Amino acid sequence: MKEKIIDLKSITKKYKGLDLDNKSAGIVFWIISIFKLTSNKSQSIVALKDVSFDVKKGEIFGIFGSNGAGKTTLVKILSGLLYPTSGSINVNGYNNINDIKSIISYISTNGWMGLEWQLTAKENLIYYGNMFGLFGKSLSDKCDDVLKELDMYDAKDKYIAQLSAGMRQKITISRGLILDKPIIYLDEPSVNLDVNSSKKLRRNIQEYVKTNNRTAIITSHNPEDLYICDRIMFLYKGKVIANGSIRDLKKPLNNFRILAIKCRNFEKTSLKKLQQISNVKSASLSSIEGKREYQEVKISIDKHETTTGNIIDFFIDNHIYIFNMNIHKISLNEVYEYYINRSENE
Amino acid sequence: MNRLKSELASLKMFSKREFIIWSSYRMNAWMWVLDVFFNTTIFFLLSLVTKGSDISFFPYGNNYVTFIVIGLGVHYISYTNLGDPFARVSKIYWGGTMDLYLLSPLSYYTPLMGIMFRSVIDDYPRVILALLFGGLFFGAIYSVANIWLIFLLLILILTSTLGFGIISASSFYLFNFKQNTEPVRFILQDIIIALTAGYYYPLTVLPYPLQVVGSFIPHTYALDAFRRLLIPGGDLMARVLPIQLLIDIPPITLDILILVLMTIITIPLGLFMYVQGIKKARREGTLTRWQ
Repeated sequence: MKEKIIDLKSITKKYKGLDLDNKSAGIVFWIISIFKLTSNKSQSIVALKDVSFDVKKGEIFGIFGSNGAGKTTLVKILSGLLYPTSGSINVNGYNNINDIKSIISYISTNGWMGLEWQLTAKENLIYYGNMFGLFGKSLSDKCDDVLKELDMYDAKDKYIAQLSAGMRQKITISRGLILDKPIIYLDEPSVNLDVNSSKKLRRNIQEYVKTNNRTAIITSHNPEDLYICDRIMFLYKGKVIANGSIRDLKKPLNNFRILAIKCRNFEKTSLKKLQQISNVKSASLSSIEGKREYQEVKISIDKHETTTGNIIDFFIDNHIYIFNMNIHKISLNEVYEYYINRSENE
Repeated sequence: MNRLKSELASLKMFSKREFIIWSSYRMNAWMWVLDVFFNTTIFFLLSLVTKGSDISFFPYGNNYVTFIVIGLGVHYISYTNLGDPFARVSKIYWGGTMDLYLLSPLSYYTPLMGIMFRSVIDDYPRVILALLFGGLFFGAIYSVANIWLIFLLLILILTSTLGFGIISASSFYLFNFKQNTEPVRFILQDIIIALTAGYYYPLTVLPYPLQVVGSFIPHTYALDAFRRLLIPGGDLMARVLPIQLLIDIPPITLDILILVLMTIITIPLGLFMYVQGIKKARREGTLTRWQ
């Protein structure tokens, strides 16, 4: 049994709501802002609600969730950048921010990624290493090694402004790797990377964790990023809706396959009727008409089911135009949707 | 000790980065040399207007160019130390780098001081240039009888204006002033200092109530002491400022005491407010714009 390196208990995070109605400026704005220091009446937004989980030493742990699920907030709390509203955090026996930050490396690919665009790729790494007390030839060599691992060595003397978004992202990842800390957080690591680079990055992370006996937490809304994880936690609207290995998470859906139908004119109210068909386990509407030319209805059916005629009849009877349909194995996204439905029905 | 060493090494690292960035804009150096030259020229031309008039600069001697270049020098220091911290915190926020700094083992203040170095390179040499141009081209004369006292005053004007600057910077997170203006800098720098610091005229020409308002800023005392010490013919004993008329201590001693007092009030208060602002942002999730 591996020892726990991260242990979170009942973490709740409320953000102060944005005051979008405040159009005041100048002195009025100053007075209102100073007054708000002592009086906070704006409605708060719950970003995380009673989140508890643990991560074992040497594990690659994934946090999967749609946009706004609370992934980044959770990682920021884990790294001490944000204070939770309530609950307790324990990272490698520490619960003090200064101790926690000494053992973690946080790689965020959000926004500008904090890169200095007037400096070269390597100068950025040196600058960042210096900030963490690393200096001299050992730092320079470490930067070269990491840049080579991520196929960025040839671009080391290029200015950040000359790099593509994907290359800048690799520099951000290199920046986290040069610190070589016991715990590494990767927030949406492959968001700008092409397919091959993403694949290589996943391989690198896996090797890095195994070879150096590190622990990694990856947050993503891209299922591909998370197939290397030992365990995955599903976050939805700030709540944990499931947690376990991919195999465990898929278990309730082992006997099902997905029938995906691209169609037009599907009314949301038709979902309930569709679910009443005998061989339909569940159904969901994945995309809304208007954004695209079509809608996609995903229907869970028994994997031994050979006929889908009654489902097609339902579409024809309801004058729903079908573009195409296919049957496939359950993906991580669909497992996530299953747990969302389950939590909403509870 | 190791901690201090590490903070100093980081300050050096920030300074180096700021220097690389600053020097990448090659026109910068020429622009600011010309800027200081033209500023000094304008006041030299103004001094020609005042020549032969009965305007009194008592107790600050009679050389208006020297009077002005000292004013310009303090103005440049104030522009950086008081005006810049808020702009730098704003840059950290909008650049999304506050997260990186807070994840590092550095103190809250080191990144702020470090990235202020750009303004230090940009503005501090202007002080020397203004004094130099004044002396070389426009007839400014300096008396440097008490160099240590001048050095002490220089440190005090640097620290006291920085204290106000950090208070101004702390308002970014503490009061959520994420727009370009905030009251401390606006009220102090753009109103009170602009009007009552006496950069371009002696404070004594102002109506008495404005002289009283001017008593609450460090510039008044630094300029008073600098001018008495640096302008030939400056009177060291005549009391002219409202507070000097109230307290029976030699004016320069009083100036120094008030500057020390302002430093020991504003620096700790500013640092405390800055940390409280960051803690508040950590609670509310407003540390960077990328949440």
